[in-house]
Amino acid sequence: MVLIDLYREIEFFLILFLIFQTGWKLLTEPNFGNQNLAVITYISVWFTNKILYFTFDNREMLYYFFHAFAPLGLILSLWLKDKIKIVWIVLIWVLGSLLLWYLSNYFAYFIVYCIAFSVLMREAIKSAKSRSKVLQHSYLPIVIAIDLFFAFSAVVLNLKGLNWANSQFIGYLKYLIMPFSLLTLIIIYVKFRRYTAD
Amino acid sequence: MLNSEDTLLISILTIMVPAIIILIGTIIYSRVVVKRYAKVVERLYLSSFKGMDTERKRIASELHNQLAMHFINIKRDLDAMQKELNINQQSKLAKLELDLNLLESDIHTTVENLYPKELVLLDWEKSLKNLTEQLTTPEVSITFESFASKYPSPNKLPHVFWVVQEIITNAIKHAKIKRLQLSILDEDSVFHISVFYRATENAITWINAKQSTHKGMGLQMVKDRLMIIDAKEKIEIKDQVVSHIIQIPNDHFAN
Repeated sequence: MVLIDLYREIEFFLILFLIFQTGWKLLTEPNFGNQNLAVITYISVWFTNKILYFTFDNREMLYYFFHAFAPLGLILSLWLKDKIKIVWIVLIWVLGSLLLWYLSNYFAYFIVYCIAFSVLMREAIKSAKSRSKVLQHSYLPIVIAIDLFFAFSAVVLNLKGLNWANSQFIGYLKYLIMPFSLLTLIIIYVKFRRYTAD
Repeated sequence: MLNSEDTLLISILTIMVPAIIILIGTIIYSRVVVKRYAKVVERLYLSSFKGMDTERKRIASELHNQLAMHFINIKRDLDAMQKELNINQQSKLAKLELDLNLLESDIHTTVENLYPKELVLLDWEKSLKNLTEQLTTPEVSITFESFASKYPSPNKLPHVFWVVQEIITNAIKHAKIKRLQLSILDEDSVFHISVFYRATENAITWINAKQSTHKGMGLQMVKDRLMIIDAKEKIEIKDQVVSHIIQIPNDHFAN
């Protein structure tokens, strides 16, 4: 348990650091928000989830928060970023996610997750064909997709009342998720650093 | 109602669907990235030939211009000195002058081999004729025949020149030839360059082995240079006579 607690603290501080870094870039770089909308969305959901985890006791409600907000946020930010204004994207995202959260329907989550994976993969392939500066960051959607996949596996285990919280499989899976989530955070950090360096 | 086995199967299936999406996506992504980098590496490799030719030309030109100027100065100084010397000393100086002329001639040959004058002028016929003369020795007789009136674009000549040189050098080195014929011909809007020679049994085995693998720096260079100019190479062996035929397509013709 000590290891998991330690991981949670490291994870929290890394996200906090990324949030500050993102906030600073949003204020100083004019195109930063538009170019990194998907990553910013993902970090924001991750950070909000952490804050809610520390402040609220209703674990079941919190459990669905990430699944309702993260995949839909990624889909909308990747699909609509060049089509409509960011304000509208955020509005549609919040309303759609609240509806998903309210419904807490397993099938709806499954569909949204599958669409999110497809959109992320499409984005990675599209970036791999783009100019070299975009190519440098093209692996990021894949890393986010794999990270999201681990979160999704918990939803599957929740199907039809499987006791996922005490599941031995989830216990083992945690040890796989921990390094991978940390890796995702580090890669996002590196991407932002490179963005500034470029 | 679903029983526990059904639930397990549904769970496995629902895990599998996104896992397959990610897997296929990652495979396509990797292929795109690898293909892109492979293309870049290939482009770099092919452009290195252009750099190599430019550098050869530059070195040859530097050698020619710099040394020519020095030789003129040295000879002028020697002539001036000759007038001040006695007969015995003059004969010693004449020997020195002879050595100097030999050195000049050697350097001239080296410069010519490095980048022939005809290549600078981009003259197809003269370049290939000069190549055969360069490679002719008392042991190996190389003849050149031209039946061409139209030639491919001049920028292809350096590639063809070094390819033909590599083929002839290989024939001399590995096939132990005594005679070789180089012919050029424009027929049906295709420019043909043919190299014919009689090879030993061992040499034919070597050619057959190398033809399939293209191993070795020289043969790889031949393959890549021909690829740059969209040319094809055919090797035919009949009654121990080896024919290397290079075909350059008609769309590159220039009068």
